Amino acid sequence: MSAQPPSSSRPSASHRPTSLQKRTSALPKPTSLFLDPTVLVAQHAQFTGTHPITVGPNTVLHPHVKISSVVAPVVIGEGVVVYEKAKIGVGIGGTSAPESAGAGGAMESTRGDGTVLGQGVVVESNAVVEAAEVGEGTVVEVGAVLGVGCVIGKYCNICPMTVLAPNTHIPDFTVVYGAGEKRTNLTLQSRPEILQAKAMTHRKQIDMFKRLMPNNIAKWT
Amino acid sequence: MSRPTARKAAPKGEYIETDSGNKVSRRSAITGTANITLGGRTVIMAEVQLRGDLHSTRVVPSSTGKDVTPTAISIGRCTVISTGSVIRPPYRISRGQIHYYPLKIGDNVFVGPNCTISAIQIASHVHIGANTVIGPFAMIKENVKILENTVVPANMIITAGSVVGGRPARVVGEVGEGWGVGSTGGVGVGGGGEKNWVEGGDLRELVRSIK
Repeated sequence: MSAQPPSSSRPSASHRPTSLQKRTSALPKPTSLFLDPTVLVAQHAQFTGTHPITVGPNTVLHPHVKISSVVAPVVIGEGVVVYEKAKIGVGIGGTSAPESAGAGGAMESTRGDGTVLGQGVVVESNAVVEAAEVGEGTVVEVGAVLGVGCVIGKYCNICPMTVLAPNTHIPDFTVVYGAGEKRTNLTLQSRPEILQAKAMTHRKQIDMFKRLMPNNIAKWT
Repeated sequence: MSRPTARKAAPKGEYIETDSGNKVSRRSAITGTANITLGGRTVIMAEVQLRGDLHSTRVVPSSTGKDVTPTAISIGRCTVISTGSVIRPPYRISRGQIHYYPLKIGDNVFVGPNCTISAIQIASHVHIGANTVIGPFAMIKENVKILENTVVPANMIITAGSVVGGRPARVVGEVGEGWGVGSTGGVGVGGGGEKNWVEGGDLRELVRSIK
């Protein structure tokens, strides 16, 4: 942590170098963090990285969520809920080891477009999302891992502890469960009223979080 | 729950010990402490997330007229919550409203490392292996053993004396006679790394050895 690159984006040398160990994170603050004013950021939620991070309206980030744009940008859509200890962003899982990504040219060989979470996505605790895109209304359950470059369709359900290899493509309304087995949720697909009910529950849930959790957004704006 | 913050000039150890003998790690992440009850001699290890802030908002018609603080998480005596576990009360829609429901954990329950628990009730003498996920509104009765890496689906009811495992969880056996018995040594060895407790048994020795 002490060997930080002399990045121009950082403010000039901190005036109390001895207190560096006391800080929660010595990583550089994101230079371009776009938080909608209606976002609910809990205490200890963390943003790191130099690429842009965009967070849409009414999104809820629970404590100890980590969002990293060290390798590529992150876009979080409207009404996303990210639970405790979930990690979002390329390279945050530590599996892909994108050491060469910093060397400029290598960025184009991997997907350079970062991570996009659609509207109303739910990322449960301990999940790791490095995927390129997660479609609207998808639920990534506890401890699931989405590898780099995965594209997940709309209204999917990635069951707990499932691991998706990098560059997996999952069509809309798919449930991924057990050891990588897949099925299509026909009920959800054929009955739009269920989708509506789900969306309504999700909205109420976000309202509930806003009532119950203190907002720490001031730290990041 | 007596507030650990009220103590002054405590010796800097890994754990803060409350008056009733609860040991709460300084590195645990607890929100909404007012809504959490610990029964006594309970251990909360480092990096454990207790979501006490997600409590029930239902208006309780109380006879005394005073507002009672709703309990979000209640944990019994001699229960051990290992590192990295997340304990979050479950919620559901009831009469068109979102409601959180209190999560109850009994006595002598061992929760292994990196579990995520959203059950409605866990009874006493339950052993939960590492990396287990317990879905919302699951109910776990007495003397149950949950194997490692199990995913207990939402609303599952596990009857007393079962052994469950797999993804999703299925009953794979019974704990049988002698569950939780043993460890009658009783000579508080303490410290030697010696296992003087059994799964599902009395965890008092284990709690005592954690410092």
